[in-house]
Amino acid sequence: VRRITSAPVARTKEQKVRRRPDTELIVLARGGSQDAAEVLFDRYWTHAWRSAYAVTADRALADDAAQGAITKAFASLRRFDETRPFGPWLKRITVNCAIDLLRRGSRLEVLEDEGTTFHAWAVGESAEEDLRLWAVADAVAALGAAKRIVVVLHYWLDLPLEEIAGALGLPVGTVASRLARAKADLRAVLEEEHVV
Amino acid sequence: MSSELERMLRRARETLRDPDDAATRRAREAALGAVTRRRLHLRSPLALGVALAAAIAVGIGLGSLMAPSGSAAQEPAGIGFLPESGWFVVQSATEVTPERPAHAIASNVPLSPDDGGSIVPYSTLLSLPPDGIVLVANFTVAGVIGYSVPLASRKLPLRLTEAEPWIEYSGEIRPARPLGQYQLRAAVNGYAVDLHVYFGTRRPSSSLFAAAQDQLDRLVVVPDDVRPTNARPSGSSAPAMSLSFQAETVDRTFRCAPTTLGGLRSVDVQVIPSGTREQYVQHPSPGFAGVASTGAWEPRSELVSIRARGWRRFGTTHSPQGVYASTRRCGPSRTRVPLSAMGLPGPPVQWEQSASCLTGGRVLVRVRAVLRSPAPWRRAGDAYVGARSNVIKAALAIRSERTGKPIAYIELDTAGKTKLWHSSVCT
Repeated sequence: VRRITSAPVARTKEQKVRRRPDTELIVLARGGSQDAAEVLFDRYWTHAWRSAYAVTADRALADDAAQGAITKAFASLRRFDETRPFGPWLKRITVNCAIDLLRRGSRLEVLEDEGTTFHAWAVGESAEEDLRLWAVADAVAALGAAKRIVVVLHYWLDLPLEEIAGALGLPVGTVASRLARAKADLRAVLEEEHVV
Repeated sequence: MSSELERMLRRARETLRDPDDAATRRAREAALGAVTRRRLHLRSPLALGVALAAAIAVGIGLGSLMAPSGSAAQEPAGIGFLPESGWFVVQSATEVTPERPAHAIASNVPLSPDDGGSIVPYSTLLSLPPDGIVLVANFTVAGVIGYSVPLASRKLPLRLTEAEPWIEYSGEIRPARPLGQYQLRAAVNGYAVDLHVYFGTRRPSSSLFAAAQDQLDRLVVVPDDVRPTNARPSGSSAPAMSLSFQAETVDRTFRCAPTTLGGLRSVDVQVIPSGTREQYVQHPSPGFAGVASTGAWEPRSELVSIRARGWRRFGTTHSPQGVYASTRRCGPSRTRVPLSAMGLPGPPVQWEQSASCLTGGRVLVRVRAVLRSPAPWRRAGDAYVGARSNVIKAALAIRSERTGKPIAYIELDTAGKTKLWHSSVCT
């Protein structure tokens, strides 16, 4: 009888934890709640991985960068000010980890023409619209690391130019001009393919 | 224009891939472990020691993870396993000669540094977790080693279901926690391939088998005759394989909606071997395989096709070699479609053939092609996407989406020869 009744109770408890806001999950995880830490992981892991993948354009590097970042973030939960949003903090750590990883492999300037494919092949509502978006993602992937990173940080991860400049250790003007050149390249490719 | 470009740029992030299960599992363990370690660290000096030990262990794990996945994933493969995220692949040599065999290993766990260069990765196998998989393929020139039983000639991809659940001349590697061990020997493209598959558990689940088969689908054995002539060793008649070109495998599954004809949906499956003069276009075919909406003789009726043949696709007689899919009738799908003739009556048709198949609805089409060089998947004309590159070989499987039953299976080999199996719904 206990077994029959305990399952719904456990589910309800899990559902309650899943509904808690980040702030409470962080406090609970600090206090030793494995459930809270797991919910926090589930909530942010995909975002972190996608951010790392956008920067590295390489699944293996993205695995390493995202894992490193989320591990670092979880290890630092005690120092984190829970009144601030967790997502942007993790995103910044992830971007830094990804850039570090590229730098360590001296791949920041040479990742070109690797046939990177960013997009997933999920079934969408409109194949035509999917194709347009994939064409854009393919064009971004083909930019080469220097321009691609600026584009994905700005347009995919919503980082302002000043923050990108800080992450890459470049003057803001350099970032702005690199972004402008990247957009010009993209426009040329996408116009030729009748995407925009 | 700029705002349209920026809008598309921002929306393109929606298409980004997701992490795979193996990476998620590893990250979950590391992240949750980090919280636990921190807690232990604060409670006692003893716990600090435990936490440090765990941190060192994770650090070593991370280090070993990064090395193989970061480097091997970039390697081209003319022999061995193509890299895939979540898998670690290594290969011993770039050439196979009578004097020097080669081997390739694929593993879904990091390979132990102690196994460097070893044909059997014992250290990795001794610590293989229950969901671990290791595939070892040994390559020799056919006929050099006399096997007790003549090797059957097989096409790629090799089927794990045809493997024997034991390994000759090998005892149980881990008697305390027995592994699942399987062996398949075959003659493939002029080479003897001795494949050993190890699972971390004696009775692997169907999902583990499927994962192993997926990696086995990425085994490449490029025949000697498609290797660039300038890469052949001079003054030697011995077959040798080379990595001097970057073979790439395209493996996509599509969900396609054939046009209706008289209220019914059906598709034409068609194969035209190399050299055949096509009936309506007087050009010798380079070898073609495809599936199209039935009866639609107008351009753009092709759904998915392999190799060059443009008149149905672009309204012209020639188009570059490659793999193509209609953007108007097909969308990508994640449904798993086996690349096999299983469930279809044989023997296959080996000459030019077109058969119409009633589908009763949408079809799933999986195409797998080994391309001579990496090719981006991009727009081709206004109604197709394609990877344009010389096709070394390919296979295409068609299933009913509604019933899941196989409709047809096509193979196109390096010489441009074709084989077609189709079900009784095709006439």
